[in-house]
Amino acid sequence: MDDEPSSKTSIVDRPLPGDVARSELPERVVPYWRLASALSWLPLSVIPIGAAATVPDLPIVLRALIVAVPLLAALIDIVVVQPRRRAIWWYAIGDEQIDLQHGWMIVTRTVVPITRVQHVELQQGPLARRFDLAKLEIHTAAGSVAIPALDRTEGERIRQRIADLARVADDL
Amino acid sequence: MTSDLPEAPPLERRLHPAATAIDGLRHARGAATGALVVLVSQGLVVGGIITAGLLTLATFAAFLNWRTTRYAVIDDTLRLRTGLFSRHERNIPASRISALDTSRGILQRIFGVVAVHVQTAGGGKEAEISLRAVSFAEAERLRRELGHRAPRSASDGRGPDAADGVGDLGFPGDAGPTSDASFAATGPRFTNPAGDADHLAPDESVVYAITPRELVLAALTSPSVAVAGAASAAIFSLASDALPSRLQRQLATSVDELTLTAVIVLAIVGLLLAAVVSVIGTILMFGGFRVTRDDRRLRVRRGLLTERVGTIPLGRIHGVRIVESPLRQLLGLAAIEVEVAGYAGQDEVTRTLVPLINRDAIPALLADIVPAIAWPDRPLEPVPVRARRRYLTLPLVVTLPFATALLVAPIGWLRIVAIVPLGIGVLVGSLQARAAGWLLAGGTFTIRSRRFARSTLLAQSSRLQRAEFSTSPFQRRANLGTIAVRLSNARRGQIRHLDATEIHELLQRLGRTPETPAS
Repeated sequence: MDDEPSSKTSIVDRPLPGDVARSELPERVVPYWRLASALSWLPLSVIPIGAAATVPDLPIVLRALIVAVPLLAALIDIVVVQPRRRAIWWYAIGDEQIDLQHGWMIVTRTVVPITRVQHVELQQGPLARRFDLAKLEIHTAAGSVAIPALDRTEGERIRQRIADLARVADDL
Repeated sequence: MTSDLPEAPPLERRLHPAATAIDGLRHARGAATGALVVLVSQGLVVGGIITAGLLTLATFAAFLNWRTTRYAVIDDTLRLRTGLFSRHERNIPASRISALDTSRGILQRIFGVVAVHVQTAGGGKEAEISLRAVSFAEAERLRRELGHRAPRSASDGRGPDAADGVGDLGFPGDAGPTSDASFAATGPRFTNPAGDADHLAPDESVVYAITPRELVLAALTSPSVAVAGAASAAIFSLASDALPSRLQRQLATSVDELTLTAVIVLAIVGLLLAAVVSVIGTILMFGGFRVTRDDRRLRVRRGLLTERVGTIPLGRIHGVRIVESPLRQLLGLAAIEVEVAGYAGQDEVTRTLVPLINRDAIPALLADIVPAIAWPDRPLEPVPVRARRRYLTLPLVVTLPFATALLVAPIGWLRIVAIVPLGIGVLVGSLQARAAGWLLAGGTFTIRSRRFARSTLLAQSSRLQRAEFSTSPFQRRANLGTIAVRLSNARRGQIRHLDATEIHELLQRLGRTPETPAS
């Protein structure tokens, strides 16, 4: 802990980007994720409901369970889980590092030096386009990290910023 | 069918015609079992006809493949075109090539050619293309064309590494036609790459060459041998102790004594055979292992039957990993692996820098190869005392079911043995806690941990690709956390249960550019 007296102190004094300026995901991601989640639950609830309605000779309790369980799971997912997903996320993009944290039980904070960024990718599916959101993927020589949903213009701006900053060092 | 192909521009070339034979034989080898089945089931005449037909087909396919595969180096870009009906073209800029490896299997040796493997940064399935047969001269030309723009200024081995990824072919002695006198088998112009130290380029020096003793030790102490040996020893002792008395009596009603003995003998023989195979495999894999360096590159050659020469630009080695399996650790031995960013297809063998070395010799070797990495000059920081007991949790959770199973076992004396899995769990956990440690000094982040083998990652801290700090609910309660760093896609270095405040401070120092290197 007492090495490099000249450079060490200054470096430690410099906070990580996430220590000073954390950005949350835009509020729009909650309705977006809710809709996406509802769409993915649709087949999962329709099939058992259809089965419960058509298969003869089922005890009424079982019939009720088959209908209720997927609906309840979907309801919990849409009402409780999706807003939590936004709450457990933050990101911060500084001049030297990209800093992001996510996770509910296991909370993971990831720091990527900007000079290590190889390329940045902005992805937008049809549903995300309706909400004007985009997914930002940051690729390094050791895999990629992603910010799941950003305001499209904000994502564009960050992409440009990272590209500018990353251009400084052109090696791996 | 091939006549309507467009006339190849003068720069484009085909592979060496031997590619037809090599590919054809590869196809044939793949179909060998099928052919055998056909021969046995259909009789010699019908089977022979079918086999001959298949062979012809394989040869024809290989021939078409050769006819339609063309490559060229145009504007510092390697272009490869393949495909008869659907054409496929790939372009790889020289600056994106992270390594140009060559290998020679038995087939390549017979025809006096080499296979060239082009590694590109980025990983994934498309990351490597292989030219399976080119002449030595052509491989040498490719190397020149794809590598000649490399800046020669980087004589300290740490220079700009964007363009110098491509190295010499590295078959010592293939540089000049004068040195080929002694090895007739490998081709008219080039010597056996297994040649000795006197076949070095003028600016090249040997950093490591495996000795016969080290090769044998490496083979004998390789983990698979240890596992097979331990298993057969366990079976043997179980058979000699337990079986004649109690267990055998209980089993006697259902299992014939002779059968049981036969099964045990077979199991032991099988395991011994596996050990022998693994020893031979290790010897073939690492035989003739040699590392040489010039001012910019390391060249690693290995293998007895199929020999492979890999080139690693010194500037791309951002870390090394020292791996000590328990057995090797007891003997003071270790293996060294390299961590190279953007080097695709990193399996354990291609990562190996040194298959076996005395632990005491490592600092000197590393100072020679990667001076940018500082050997820890003082003991590593251990994990906090309050974290030590947490290392016991996971091994105990894993071994508990075994202990429980033994406790409820119907055979009385097995219940006493139930303590053994728990003991192993405690032993593994405390060894893991003792191995865990870290140090950030001289621009090098050292991180040591153990699963079974003890693994020490020495990383240039300014070269880390990513650092991760994660906490579980249990860790949060004790203000502890796990830190993981990555230098390459393949693996990471991780240390569990460090003080969370300490990790946060570490995160601020890792990956920052102006770390002053050790003087």
